[in-house]
Amino acid sequence: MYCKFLWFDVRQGLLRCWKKLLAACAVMLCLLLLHCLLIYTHNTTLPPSEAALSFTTGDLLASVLCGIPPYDPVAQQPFLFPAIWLLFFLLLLYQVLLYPMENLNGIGQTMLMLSKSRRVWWLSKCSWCALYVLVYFALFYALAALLTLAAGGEVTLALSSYYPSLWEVRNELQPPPWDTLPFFLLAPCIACALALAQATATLWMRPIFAFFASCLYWLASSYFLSPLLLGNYAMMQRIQTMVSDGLPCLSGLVSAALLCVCCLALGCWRSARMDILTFDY
Amino acid sequence: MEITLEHVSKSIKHAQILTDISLQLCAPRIVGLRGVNGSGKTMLMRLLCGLVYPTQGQVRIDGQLLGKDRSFPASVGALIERPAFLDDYSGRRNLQVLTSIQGRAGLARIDQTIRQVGLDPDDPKPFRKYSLGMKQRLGIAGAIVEQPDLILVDEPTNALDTDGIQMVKELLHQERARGALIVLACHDQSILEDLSDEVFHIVDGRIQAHYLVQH
Repeated sequence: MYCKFLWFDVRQGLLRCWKKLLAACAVMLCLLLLHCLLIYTHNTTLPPSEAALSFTTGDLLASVLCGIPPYDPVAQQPFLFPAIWLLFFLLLLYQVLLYPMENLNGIGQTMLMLSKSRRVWWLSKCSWCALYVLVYFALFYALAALLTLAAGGEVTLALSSYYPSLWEVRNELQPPPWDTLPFFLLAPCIACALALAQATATLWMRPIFAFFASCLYWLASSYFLSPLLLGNYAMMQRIQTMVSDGLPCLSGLVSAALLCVCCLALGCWRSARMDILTFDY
Repeated sequence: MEITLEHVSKSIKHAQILTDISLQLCAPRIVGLRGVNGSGKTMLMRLLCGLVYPTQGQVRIDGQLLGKDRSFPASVGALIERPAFLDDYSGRRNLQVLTSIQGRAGLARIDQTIRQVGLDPDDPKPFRKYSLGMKQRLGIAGAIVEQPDLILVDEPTNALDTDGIQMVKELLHQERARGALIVLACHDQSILEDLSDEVFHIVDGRIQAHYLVQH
């Protein structure tokens, strides 16, 4: 039964939503091109004696996922609003926001009744959500690799040695070479956990309010450096492999896994008790 | 199939929708729910099919407590509020999607049901291009295609012409003859009494009257 439900969700909420993913690709491309533009502008203003900069796939990915350095309100530093980082993650959260409840408003309601299991319905929606996040990140990574190839750069997750100098690093950078693979694997896990948390919230509140709560949570993650705000783990500038006082990737992975388990359990509990009516948005 | 409601009340966000409903329904029978808009007919149907749970009281289906012993009735088909299908799929594909869950109806049965409701199973037109009447017919087909023991139909004659209303009558009588328990909500008293074996008149969420219909 679970597999039938999941296949239905994959077809209806993923394969038939290719336009949504295409729109996401367009946004991702724009975000990645910003970094290309930065390097291009730098290279055009170089004196002839200096070598032109190139970039790797890791640089491109980091340009979107780097976030901001930890903010210290006491030190009277300006808060650098992480617009690109927020846009990337909030776009994903918005794209996974509506499908489960929209589906439950339509044919999904009949299917739920026929399946005779609210738990299976919820597990399928969680699996769909996780799959969507994975596809979103796979597209992002693939786009970055293609763009690197097109620009003649090196397709590797390693960062160029000059790259962190572009950051406004306010704490001590780890010495190169930086091991970026754990971070690039962790970022989709964090996004997946928080997308599941948002989906769980929609079982109690209107989807749009759940999205507002997500926005606040992600914004708080950029403002406060705390392991309880998982968004911190999705910022390259706050990870231990990059900065000396950063957060360890492993604790991020464990926190994400715990959150996923909590969301699954809470959703199962709630979906077994909730009234299924026509939902408002 | 036997459904028992014991002192069932339902409130949503402090609004009392149903109050102290007790009734017993046995197959094969067509049970009519009569009442004006907002009287609680649709909520009662949602309770019967397990989509909502009572705030007070119990719903038992064949002795099993709904919401505790089981989440939904074992064999149910429903058309509640409006026919809900996938917009881009044809009628046949929509029914294929629905029947894929339980696997109780093959393609031949799907095509037969679509013909029974007066539609063409080979019509490739997507659901979104159906007229209101066609959507209603497909909704009825969706409720009966797997020959369930419990059929819940809310205002089944909405948007149907005279032929369509006649078709609904014939289909529901066929389903009763097969042994199904049919619960039918309708605000039109003449249609309801023409179809039903017994009628519950609901006013402001309470059963005001209960009577058998002599045909």
